[in-house]
Amino acid sequence: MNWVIQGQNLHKAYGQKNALDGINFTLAPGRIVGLIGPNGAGKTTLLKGILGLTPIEGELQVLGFNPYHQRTAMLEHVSFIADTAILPRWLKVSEAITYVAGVHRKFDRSKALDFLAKTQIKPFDTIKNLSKGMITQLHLALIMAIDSQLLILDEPTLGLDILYRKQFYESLLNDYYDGQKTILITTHQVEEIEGILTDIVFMKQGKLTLNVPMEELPNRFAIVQVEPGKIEAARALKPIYSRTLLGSEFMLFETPDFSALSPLGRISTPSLADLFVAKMQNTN
Amino acid sequence: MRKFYTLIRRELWEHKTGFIILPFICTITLSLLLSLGFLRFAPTATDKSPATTPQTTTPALNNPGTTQSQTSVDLNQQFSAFHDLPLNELPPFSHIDALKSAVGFLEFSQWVLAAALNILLLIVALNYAHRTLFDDRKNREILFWRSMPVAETENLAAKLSIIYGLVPLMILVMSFLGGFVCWLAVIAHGANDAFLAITKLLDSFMIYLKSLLFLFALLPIFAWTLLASAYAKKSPFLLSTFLPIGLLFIDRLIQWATGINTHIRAGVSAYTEYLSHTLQTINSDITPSLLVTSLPFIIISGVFMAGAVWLRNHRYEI
Repeated sequence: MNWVIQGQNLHKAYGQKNALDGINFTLAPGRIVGLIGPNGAGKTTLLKGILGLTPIEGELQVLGFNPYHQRTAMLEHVSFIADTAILPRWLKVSEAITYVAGVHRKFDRSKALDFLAKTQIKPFDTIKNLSKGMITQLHLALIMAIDSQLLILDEPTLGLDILYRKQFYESLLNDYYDGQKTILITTHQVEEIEGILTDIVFMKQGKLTLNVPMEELPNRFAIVQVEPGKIEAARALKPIYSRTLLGSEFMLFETPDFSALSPLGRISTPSLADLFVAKMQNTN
Repeated sequence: MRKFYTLIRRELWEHKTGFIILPFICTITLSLLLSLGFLRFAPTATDKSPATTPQTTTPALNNPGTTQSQTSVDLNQQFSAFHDLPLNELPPFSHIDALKSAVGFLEFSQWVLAAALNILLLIVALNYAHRTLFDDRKNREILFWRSMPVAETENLAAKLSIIYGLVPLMILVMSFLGGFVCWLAVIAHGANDAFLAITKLLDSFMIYLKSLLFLFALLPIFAWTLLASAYAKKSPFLLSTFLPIGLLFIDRLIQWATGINTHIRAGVSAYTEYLSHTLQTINSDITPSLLVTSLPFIIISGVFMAGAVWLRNHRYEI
């Protein structure tokens, strides 16, 4: 099986609003995919569908399982952090570890304890007494100690300060990712995950507007700091997005003709944030 | 099996106050109060009179092999003096009888403890059933629980095990513990029949069996409550209470307006009769026929519980 998730013509509507509008989506093993979109784009609905938390129309398979009808079996191989800081407040750290060890065959208690040893979290702490960052660390320790094939993270660092956010992604890469496992992340903080992603997927109004490997970005997109006097010439090449910053005009081009762009100004690869804004504002 | 055991432990971690600590405190408090009462009011060895008036003794004292330590007349005189009441105005208090012998005292204590524990744990269990499939949705903890490979059927089975396994077990253990504390008071008091009285602790097993059967008769109520807990968006208490009341009202209205009997009231009435019959049966003679009369209610409970599992799996969006 050369895919982890395969979805064909996925559709989900809430009343008159299409949360997912005929999405086709395939995720290969060993990738770290960023699913990025504005609020209401359908990211969480897609994740819920993948996790079997909500039924969605179309053909969807996760590791060969139908997520909605074979959810329990699927969760032996898939782990997820649906939101930060939602661990039960009355639970003690040691109880949380015992619980996951008891219900999940692929959980490695020593791995979780090793991870927690690097933090300030103590086994007899109650979750309600931990800070939001510490709860996220604990949650991550529990999830990373599960030898799952697919890890899904929905806004995992929401509300955390930059230190915890940085630590979170470092732990994810150093302690969990081994090149075989697949990680699917949704977040608004695109700058922070840019360096760890292998693939990028943009969603807008229930549709995928971009789905490319990161290594293709320099060939697919270019941003040009247009020299004064060449703005009209650059506009003629139909940029998908342009903005003015400190008196300079920046234009972003998709599938660019580099020979035509190079006389117009300095060319560089756009950041994910630029690309995201361009794709979300582009009405085509 | 390991998974199920973990699910039970998880319920215990969350609800240890209601199911363990509270009954323990109740048992210790009650048994200490009973013991103090016994030590204060029971006649001492020096007060003992050899005379016995068979007409005034309790059935417990008439048991073969039971040593009687005090006449009712002597005890009533003590009680009368203590409360400053004329003898002819004394009510026929059963707790006066309880002070007559160690056996009678332990019998009485076990009864008081059993009643208190049954009432307390019934309230705790009903509260638990109302909240257990609701709270995790309300505070979004369900996102963590549902990230684990646990089926809702296993989850519900673990919750039912708390009601039908832990509650009667706590009644057994706590009534035994309370009885033991009371027995220590009997020993401290130096009652003649103290060592014979310890056999009364075995009554805890009968209390356990009766509590279990009583809980079993309440299965439709627990199943309905779990369904309400799985369905409710705001208050499972209001849903589980007012929906049946509303249905009874609608049934009466339909019958009054159209003459059609929807059998809702008939069903509720049949269930209350069944409950009353079960209570009578477990207090007299437990027979296998109880299972036959329970069958329709077991089926209804099964439907409610299947509904609760279905709702957890399908109905709501997280």
